[in-house]
Amino acid sequence: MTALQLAPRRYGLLGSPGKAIWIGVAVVLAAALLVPAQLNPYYLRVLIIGLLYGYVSACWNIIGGYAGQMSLGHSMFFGIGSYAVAVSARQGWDPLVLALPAGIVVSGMLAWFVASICFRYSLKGIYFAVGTLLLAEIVQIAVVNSEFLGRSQGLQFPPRLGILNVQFETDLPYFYIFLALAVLMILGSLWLERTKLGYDLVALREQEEGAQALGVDTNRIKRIAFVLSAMLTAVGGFLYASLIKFVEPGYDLSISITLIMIMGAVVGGRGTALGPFLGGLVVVLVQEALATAGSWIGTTSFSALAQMTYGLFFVVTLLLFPRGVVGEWVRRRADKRARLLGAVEQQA
Amino acid sequence: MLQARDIEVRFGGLVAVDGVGFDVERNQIVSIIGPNGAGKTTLFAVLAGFQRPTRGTVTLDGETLTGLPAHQVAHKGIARTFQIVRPFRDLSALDNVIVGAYAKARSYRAAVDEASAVLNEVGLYAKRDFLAAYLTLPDLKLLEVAKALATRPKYLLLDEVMSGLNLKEQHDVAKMLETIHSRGTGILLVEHSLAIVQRMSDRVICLDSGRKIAEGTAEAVMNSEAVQVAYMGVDHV
Repeated sequence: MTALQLAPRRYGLLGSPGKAIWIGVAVVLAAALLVPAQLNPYYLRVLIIGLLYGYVSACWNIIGGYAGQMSLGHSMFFGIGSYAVAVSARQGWDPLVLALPAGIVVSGMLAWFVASICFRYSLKGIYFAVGTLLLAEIVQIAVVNSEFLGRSQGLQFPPRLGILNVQFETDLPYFYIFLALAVLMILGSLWLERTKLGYDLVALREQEEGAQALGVDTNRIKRIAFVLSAMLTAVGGFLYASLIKFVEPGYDLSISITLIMIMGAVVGGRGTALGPFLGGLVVVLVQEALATAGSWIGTTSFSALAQMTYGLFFVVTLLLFPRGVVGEWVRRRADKRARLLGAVEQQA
Repeated sequence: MLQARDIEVRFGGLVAVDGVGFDVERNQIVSIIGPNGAGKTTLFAVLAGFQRPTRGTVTLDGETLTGLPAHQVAHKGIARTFQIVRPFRDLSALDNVIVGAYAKARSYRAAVDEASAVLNEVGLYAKRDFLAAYLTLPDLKLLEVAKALATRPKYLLLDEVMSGLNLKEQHDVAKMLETIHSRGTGILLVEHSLAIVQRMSDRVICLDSGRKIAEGTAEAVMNSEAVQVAYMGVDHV
C-alpha cells in the first residue's frame, strides 16, 4: 500500500466554494441595493414571485431532489400556509404572524401522518407520487366543499398593515423577506449537503438497499425530509397569502403549484442548493413572457397556445440540461476534475 | 462470535436455505462456496438483516439479530457488500465511502478523513473524485468493500468481490483483505475463485441446494466427495 497522501481539503461550512461565494455575495448585495431604485412595481412583483417559486422549489427539493422521493402533493402544504393567513385574518387573530407557526405546525403534522402511512407500507417511486397526488386532491376537494374555507371562491380578507401582521403598503419589504429567505435556504441546503442527514438522503435516492447496508434508516430519514420539506413549504404559502391577500383552492391547493415547485427544481437542478432558485426565476420569467406575448395577440389569459409554448420550453430545456442547469454544471466540474486526475495518473 | 443456527429460508415452495448453521470468530476468515443457486447470497441476506429467515436465528456475541432491520444490523457491526454492486452512482467515490463513514463519524471532517483512509487502504484513493457511474466493475467491487469497511464493522460479509479480476489482481485484493483482517475484523467470504478460497480461508463451508454439505479446512472440503459431486456431477467423480 502506498503511503497515505491526503490532498488538502477544506472542511468549513461551505467547503471550498472559491470565487463562487463572493459572486453570490455580490449578486445578493447588488440585488438588495439596486432593486428598490431601479424596478417598477410590475417587475418588482415578478421578481418577488420568482423568489417565492425558487423558495418553494427549494423546499420540494429536500424530499424530491436530495431524497429522490417524488412528492406530487406539496400543494397541500403550501395551501395550509396560505389558508392559515386567510382564516386567522377573518377570525381576527392579532398579530397575524401567529398564522405562521400555526401553518407550520399543521403542515408538519399532516406530513408526519402522510409519511408514516406511505413509508410504513413502503410506498415507493410511482406509488408514493400517486399517493401524495391523491391526498392533495382530497384536501382540495375538502376545501372546495367547506363553507368555512370559502368553497371554490376562496377567501378574501382586508389588509391589516404592520410588521407583526407581515403586511406592508408596498411590495418592497416582501422582496427583502424573500431575498433573506433565499439566502438562508441556499446556505441551509449547502450545509445539509455535508451533514450525515444530507449524505443519507442522497444515498437513499441513489440506492436504497445500498444505503440500508451502511446503517441508514431509510424510512426514518424519508419521514424527516418530508416533514421538514412540508413545514418550510407552509412558510412559502404564508408569505404568498400575506402578499396577495386572497386565497383560492384553484391556485393555492392545485396541482399547478406543485408543478411549479417541481419544474423549478428540475429545470434548475434537482438535488442542488442553487438550482431551485434559478429554476424558480426561469419559471416566472417564462410565464410572464408568455402572458405578455399573449396580450399582444389579443388574449390576456394564460392561453392554450401559451401553455403549449410553456411546456415546449421545459421539454427543450430538459433535453439540453437533463440534470437541470446547475446539476449539469456540477456534473461537468466533477468530470473535469476526474479527467485531470486521470491525466495525472497516466503520466505517473 | 457470529453464529447462525438452523437457518431456513423458504420462498413459497422453494427452499433457498435449508437448516444451515455455523460460527465465525473475529480472528477467522470463513469462506462459503457452492455452485450457482446454492443459497450463498440468500444466506448473506439473512445474516445482514435483508432477508427474514422462516426459521433459525443469527446472533452476534450472544445478541440476537434475527428480525432486526438491515440498518440496525449494520449498526451492530455487520457490514455486507452486494454481489450485484450497489454504488451511489451520482456521487464521487469519496462521497460513496463518506456515507459509510457517517455511520460512526460525528463530523464532516471526521467522515472525510475516515473515508479517505479507507479508500487509500483498498487502493481507490487516486480515483476518489471519480463519479461511481464512471468506475469499472472491478473498481466498483472495491468501492463496495470500502463503503462497508468505512462503517468500522466487526464482521465483513463479502459477496464475490473478486469476480471479474485476473488472478494477480485477485491476490492483490486478498492481500488487502488479509491486512484488514489482521486488525481484528472477522471476514465471511462468498467466492468462486478456489485459489483465493484456499489462500485465505481458515475454514470453508460448502452449500448445495440450500444445505450445508461440507465444512472444514479448504483441503478437506474440496477433496470431499459430496463437494465434488455437487460441482461436477456424479459421473465425473
